[in-house]
Amino acid sequence: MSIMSYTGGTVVAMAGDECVCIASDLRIGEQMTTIATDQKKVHKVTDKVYVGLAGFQSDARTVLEKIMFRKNLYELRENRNIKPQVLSEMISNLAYQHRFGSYFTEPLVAGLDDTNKPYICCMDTIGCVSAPRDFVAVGTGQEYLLGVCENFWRENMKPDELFEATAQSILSCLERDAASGWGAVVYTITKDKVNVSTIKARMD
Amino acid sequence: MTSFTGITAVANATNEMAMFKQAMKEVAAHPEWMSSRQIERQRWNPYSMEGGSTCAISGENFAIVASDTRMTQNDINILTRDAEKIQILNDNIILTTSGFYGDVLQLKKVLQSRLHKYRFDYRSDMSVDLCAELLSRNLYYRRFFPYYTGAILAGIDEHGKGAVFSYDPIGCIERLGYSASGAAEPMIIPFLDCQIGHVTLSEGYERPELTLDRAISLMKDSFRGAAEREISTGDKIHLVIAEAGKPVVVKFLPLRED
Amino acid sequence: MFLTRSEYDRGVNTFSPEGRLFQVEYAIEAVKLGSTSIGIKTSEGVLLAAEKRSTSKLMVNDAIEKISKVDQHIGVTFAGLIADSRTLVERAQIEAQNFWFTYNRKIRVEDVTQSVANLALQFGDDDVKASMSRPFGVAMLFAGVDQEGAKLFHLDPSGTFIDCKAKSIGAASDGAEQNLKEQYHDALTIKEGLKMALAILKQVMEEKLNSANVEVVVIKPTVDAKGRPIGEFTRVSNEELDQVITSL
Repeated sequence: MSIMSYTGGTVVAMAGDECVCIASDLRIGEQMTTIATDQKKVHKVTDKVYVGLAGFQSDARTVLEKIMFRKNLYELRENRNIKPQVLSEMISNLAYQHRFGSYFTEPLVAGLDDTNKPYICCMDTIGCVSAPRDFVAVGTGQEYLLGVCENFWRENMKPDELFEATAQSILSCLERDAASGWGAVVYTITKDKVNVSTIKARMD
Repeated sequence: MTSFTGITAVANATNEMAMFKQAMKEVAAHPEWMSSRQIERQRWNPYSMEGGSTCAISGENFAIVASDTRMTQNDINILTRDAEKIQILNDNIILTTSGFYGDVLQLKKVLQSRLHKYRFDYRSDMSVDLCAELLSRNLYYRRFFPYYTGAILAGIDEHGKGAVFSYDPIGCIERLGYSASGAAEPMIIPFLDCQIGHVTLSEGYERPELTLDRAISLMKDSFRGAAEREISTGDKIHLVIAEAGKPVVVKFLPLRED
Repeated sequence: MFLTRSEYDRGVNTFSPEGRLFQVEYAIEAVKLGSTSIGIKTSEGVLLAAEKRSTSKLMVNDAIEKISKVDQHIGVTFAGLIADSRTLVERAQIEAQNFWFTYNRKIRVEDVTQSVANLALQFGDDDVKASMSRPFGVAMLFAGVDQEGAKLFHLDPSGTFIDCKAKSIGAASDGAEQNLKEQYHDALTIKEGLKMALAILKQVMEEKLNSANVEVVVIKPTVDAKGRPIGEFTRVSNEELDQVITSL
């Protein structure tokens, strides 16, 4: 079993019309054993920028702290809020600095920039960014998610539609991915508020 | 005491020498540059994977089966865009297989000949129920050199209802409402879970009936999504529709060719 | 014509000028030396009744088996050379198990009869191919209940098999069959069928009928774990037989 699937976990993000959705499951495990059932893999960076970290959760925690460190430094120096594009570039740099001894986590960034244009991206463990316009998924349930998202994603979805599409996608994924589960948390980021909902899935 | 330590020292020295010799011998027998991975690589591998995906959905009085028609090598080269992975064994039995194409062909031949023999021995066409058990047996016969395939058997059962049977390479059999196998299986299955299994729908919500038209449209969506993301799936959808009391219909639908 | 007619009965694969295979016909005659068996299909299943003829009073009657179980839902009785019947019964048993193993389904009575019929014809003086040098000297009655309902098949040494409602084989088959023709009707119950079979046996047997020299098997319809119709093979106990016999 690869280290990338040691703790399990899945994160997905979808872009809509002036809104983005980012969701993760809540399980953390040691291979086949479930350790905790309240481990969110999505973290708030700024009001409108969130980061998801799938993969080995011990590394994910370290990476998150390094991200926060760099982001705080950026905001102090520049005296402005960080844009998701900038954050993803920053994480990409951080990841690539460990090119030959990488953190075993795949980061995912979702947020709205100054003009409330949605931005989502994911990267591999060494920071190769891919920022499509529709959706991204990382973690043990990536393949399951990509198949479902491909069918659920539509152009210019409104926040409630976007939430529905994201929630349905991650729930369908959790149905088949044994390494993720125990419910999901979905963040719907719009220009004036962020909606957080915890949803029940298969609880096993 | 000194003499004792002296003896111990000599004993240690001879022991070390023996260990060193042993280590040298082992290194000569299994040189370090031949790591386990390289040894693995030298061994001839009787299997290959030609990619592609297949899927089957059953309803009240119908079963539909689909597969793509692409055949790839190493997931990169396209060998042909017209590979057939679906076999219509008789009016009620449709076999679809993905995986190692050599085994796909062999399995098809084995079942065809068994069905042929059945017609002589028992003077009737085999039903999909019997064929399902037969396939399970045939897969298990090769327990230690398996057919490297994910087989799905679909058709109309003895009661006129749609049937889908899903297998692992060594014959574990399960009757399901829908199934997928092959490279894009993880992409198709959760979508069908959602749309046909309604696993993400809360209780008390209306569940749309699975009509033939809906099944066909879901099938098209599944393959469109799979072809979008999975490189060994594409070119055409080979769709076979079996309805109780009607002849089998075969269709080819376009799919991404890149 | 320089050969006398009787010389055509030397080889099993030589037709007589009239188009007859004498060895096969002799085998059919051998059946008539055997003890009588009756099979009756009723509206509630099918039953087999067989006479157990003891040639000596020193013989243990219980040791003779005149009705064999082929599978849970099929029984067979035979008349003629009993030793020959063992080969055929074994073929039937193997065929039934093989079908179940391959298809996870119980074999039909007709198919088991067909496969035994195929074996019955595999005789000849060829050392390599043939499993038997002469025709089998037995006739058999296959009775069972499968997904199509109760079935009774008669198989003779020529490999011919016929679907029957009621049938008798063995020494007194002619007389017994005459009785069956007169008494049989489609609405028979198992109980009536049992009584009819024993009454006919009593009439045609040389010995006095008792529970020790008769063997009866009943196969009644039931359903398997998946709800499919199938039969259940049961031997009728001596006590039950005694009851019926005394009521005759």
